[in-house]
Amino acid sequence: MNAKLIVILWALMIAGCQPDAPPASFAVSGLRLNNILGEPEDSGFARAEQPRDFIFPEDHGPHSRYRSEWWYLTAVLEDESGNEYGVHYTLFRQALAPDPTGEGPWHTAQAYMGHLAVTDVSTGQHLEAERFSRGHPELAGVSTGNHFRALIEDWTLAGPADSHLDLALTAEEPGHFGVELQIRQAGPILLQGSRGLSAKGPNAASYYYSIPRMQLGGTLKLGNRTVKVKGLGWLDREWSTSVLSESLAGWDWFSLQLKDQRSIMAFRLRRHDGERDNYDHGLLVDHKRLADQAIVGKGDRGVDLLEPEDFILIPNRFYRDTQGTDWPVSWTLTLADEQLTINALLDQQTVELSISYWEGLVEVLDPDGNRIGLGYMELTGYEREDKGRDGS
Amino acid sequence: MIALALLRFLARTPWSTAMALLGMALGVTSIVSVHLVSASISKRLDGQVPSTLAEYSHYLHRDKLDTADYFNLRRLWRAGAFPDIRQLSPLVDETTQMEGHSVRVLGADLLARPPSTGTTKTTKQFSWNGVWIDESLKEQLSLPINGIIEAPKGTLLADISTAHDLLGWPANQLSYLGLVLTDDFAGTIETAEKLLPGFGAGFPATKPRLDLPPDWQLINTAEQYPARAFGKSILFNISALGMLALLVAWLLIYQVAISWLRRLWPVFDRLHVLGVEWQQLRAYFLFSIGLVATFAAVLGLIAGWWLARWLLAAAVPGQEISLKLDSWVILKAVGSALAVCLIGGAWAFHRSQRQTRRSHLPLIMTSLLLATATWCVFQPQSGLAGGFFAIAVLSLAASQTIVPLISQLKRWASMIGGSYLLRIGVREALWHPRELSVAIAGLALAIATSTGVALMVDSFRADFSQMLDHRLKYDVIAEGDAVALRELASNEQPITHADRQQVYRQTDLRVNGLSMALNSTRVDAIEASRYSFSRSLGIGEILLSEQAGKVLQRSIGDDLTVSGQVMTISGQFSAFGDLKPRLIVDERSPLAAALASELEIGSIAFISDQPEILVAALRKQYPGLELRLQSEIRRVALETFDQTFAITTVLITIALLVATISVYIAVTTMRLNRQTGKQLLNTLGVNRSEQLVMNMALGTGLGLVAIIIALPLGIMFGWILCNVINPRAFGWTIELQLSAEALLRSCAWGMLAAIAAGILQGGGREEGAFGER
Repeated sequence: MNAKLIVILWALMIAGCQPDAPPASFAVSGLRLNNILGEPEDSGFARAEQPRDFIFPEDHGPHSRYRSEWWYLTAVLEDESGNEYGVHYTLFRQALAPDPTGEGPWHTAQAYMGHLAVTDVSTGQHLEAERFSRGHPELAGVSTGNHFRALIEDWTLAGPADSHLDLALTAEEPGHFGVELQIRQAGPILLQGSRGLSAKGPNAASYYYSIPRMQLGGTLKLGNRTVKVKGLGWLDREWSTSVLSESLAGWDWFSLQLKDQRSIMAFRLRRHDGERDNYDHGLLVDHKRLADQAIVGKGDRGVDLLEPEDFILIPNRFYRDTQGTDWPVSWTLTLADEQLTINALLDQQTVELSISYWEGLVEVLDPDGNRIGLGYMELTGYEREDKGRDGS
Repeated sequence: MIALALLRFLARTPWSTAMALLGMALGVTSIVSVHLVSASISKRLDGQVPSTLAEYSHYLHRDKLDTADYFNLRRLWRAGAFPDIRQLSPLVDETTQMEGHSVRVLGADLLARPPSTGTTKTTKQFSWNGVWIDESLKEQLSLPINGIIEAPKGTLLADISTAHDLLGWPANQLSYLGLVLTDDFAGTIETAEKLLPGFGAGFPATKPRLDLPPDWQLINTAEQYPARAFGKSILFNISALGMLALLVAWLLIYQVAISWLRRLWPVFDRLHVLGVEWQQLRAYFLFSIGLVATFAAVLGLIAGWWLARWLLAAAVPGQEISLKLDSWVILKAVGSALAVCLIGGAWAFHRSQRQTRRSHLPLIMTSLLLATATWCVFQPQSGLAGGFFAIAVLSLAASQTIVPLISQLKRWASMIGGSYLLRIGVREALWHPRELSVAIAGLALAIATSTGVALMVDSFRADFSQMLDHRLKYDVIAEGDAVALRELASNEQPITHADRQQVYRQTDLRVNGLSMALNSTRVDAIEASRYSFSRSLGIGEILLSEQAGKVLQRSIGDDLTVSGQVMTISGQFSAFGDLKPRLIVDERSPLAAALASELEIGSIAFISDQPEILVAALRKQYPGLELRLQSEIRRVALETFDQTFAITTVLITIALLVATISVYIAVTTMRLNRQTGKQLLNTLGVNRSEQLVMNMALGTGLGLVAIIIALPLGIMFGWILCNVINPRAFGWTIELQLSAEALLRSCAWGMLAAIAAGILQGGGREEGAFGER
């Protein structure tokens, strides 16, 4: 869920390029926001309409007949001195056409975008980098089987995928920062929504699963420093052709890992008219209560689907960035019988690459102010419509 | 009261007010027209590079480039080996026949970087396998068309996958790579281009530091598109000339502001005595001059637009002219008028209130600038900008000599003989240096520019003519239909009335990654003499045009590898007007043999006693040939040459006109404030014709002062243009010839302008501001 608006913004940007203009402006395809959201022009693409059987490791790989897809990893990490770090790595796939446009390696009809960001809480640094490429065996692509491999230029996420995912992430922006992390699946695959079919609106849905508990260890390269870290990760996988309703302005998404072995995913869809959307939802997983299953979802023990009436998210504090955008960086999450406070560990975690959003490390506090967990938060659609960051 | 006094004053001096408005408007007209002409030419030149390629700052070439090379290089780049590279993309660039049309197919990886943003929605006609074409291919191809682009005729753009398919190339074949390199000055150059179109060509080209693997050649856009670079260099010359016109216009506007103040000063003096604060008076003065400047800017914008249209219509007849008054030109015009007026006016007001202390700072600054300018002149790495910087500094230094020069001349004025009226006229020109110095500086600068450019053009024309004498050794040239040329060349029967037949073959190739033209012909002593080479060319020898020598950084005696053949450079020749660097080899050379399949006959030349009869015979036998006589070629070449510099002449004329108005305004104001003397002369019985003599003497005096400064300055301009700017811009060396005609012509025009400014009688009909001081 979390990367949807990013993908939409990205796709809009790709699609927005006027084809009458020279290709210098890189009109990638006839895609535009409405296409993704379910207009008739998406004919030829497969759509997420019915629940499906998820088959692994195949479903870790690409679903090229769907227009959009992403592999999304966030991690909350700690070094030996107890300093906290956050890592966010996303590989977006966008289909340019339902089928390859011809024969040969240049004709894959797929475009990829990679985002990498590291938050260093102790120094207040937020570092970010981007890769962008067409699908090409030498440039970018995802393959799976017993060995999973996601590549975009020099960034790779790869490793055995037979029973559990056991991946290595290597990504660096030379001279700036980089990550080398070992990622081991430490919990079951969690099917979001209705057994993996996540409805976002009338005729809008995606296939969505997560692995909320991944054990991580490795090094971060921050300028001239190399830091050894370990911690917890969250992997999100989602693909679709028509995701969202045009009435949406943006959303707020949370992935929280609590010390009591619970994991919470929650998102709030914001409409242009300021009203909360009926399709908000979330999932509460209590890992202690889970049965020993490789895949769990709605209806399984320890898994509670959060309907709109089951939770309330209210912003407490806003951070104004250099562009004048106000981002809600502190929230109260009210569940049935508890109230949690979610605070950004660093206000400035805005990702300002080809597209802009806020994606960063947060802490979770109980009503007494005790930290009971960490997680990641994604905020989109807060920029004023008359003042896009890209100058549009 | 103040407003009433001002209005009364303006009503009583309508002619002077109108002249101030006209003078300033003319200054703005000159600024606007030069800007629009330059912007229009710049746009045309940019059109020579297809828009997809225009975004790249450099290109990488290597023999037999394929995708493996690209991916290896890209991996190295991503690993941090080339931190200066911001973008890297594979490019396909090949001309092919498509549906009966010759089409240049350009293919780029459209997904090599994030897409640009902020554009509008796509249309339904979009196809990923579609293409973008230039206007000339519209409705000529049956491919899906995504849009029309600005590009040279016959250009087609597509994604690299589609381009491969269209050309039938294997997926691993590439033409070259496009690069965007980090340039710290890019933003500055872009802004400079907006304010002074064409000026970017004058910035010294920085050689990027890329530690490339062996066999890669890095070339910049100018080297990749020499025709465009050539045009840009000419544009830079025009632009720089425009800058001088701008300077003259600024001087005029400043002069108007000073004159306005001098006219108003008696009013202010009295108002101050009546208790009005200087601060308030200054505000009124600035408001009134600002109002005049605003009206003048609007008039100048309109007039400048019309003038630019007229100039372009004269320079490029038959072509569609589309000029746009964009925000930059409006900013430049209104900004020039208002800023120069208000800042200059405020400064003049300040100086009128109190005596300014003499300071050595201007002298020290000028000396430092002169030292820097001298360094620029002798250091080629300062580029075209260095040459024009030297001209600007010389102008500044010359303008600072005006007041001391007039003061010196004033001392000698008592030695002038002749009638007292004549002496009064001349002394009037020398007695008021502060009032006339700005106007004289403008006139001197205009004359100096005219002199410098005239010297350069005359010298250039002489060299060009000499080159034509060398080159046009043949009486008849046959060009045109390739089949007819091949038939003619292979005809073994002697051609009647042809004493000598010379076949020229040519091809385009890349040497060290640079695009060049190669000519192959029999280079015996006669042919070699066309290139000022004294003997026949050996089979291992090669001749280079000056441009080729410059871009390859090779000189006589060096070895040069061309298409795998090592050749020795035996000579260099002038090639004014060549769009590409050129190489010449003998047709028996191994290089010509290696390129035999690519060399096409471009022309065949004949020496003949009876060229007209020969032309008639050839025309009958080979109707497909274009046959031209030597005399006709010479005439067309010189006409083209003169047309190239037509805009230059017009710009100089504008500058002179602006300077004339400036001098006129200065003289009128000076007289308005000296009504007592005039009335005294009238009382003494000085009649109209005697007044005319006095005015002519005044104008002559002013003209002489301006010429004394302008003549050496103009010669220095000419030297810099011939020896610094042209070699750096075009790779041409022009021998400066101090043509008396060029010197006299400029001085005569300058003198006429000064005399005209002196004898104009408009201001004479008006009363002084408030009578006498």
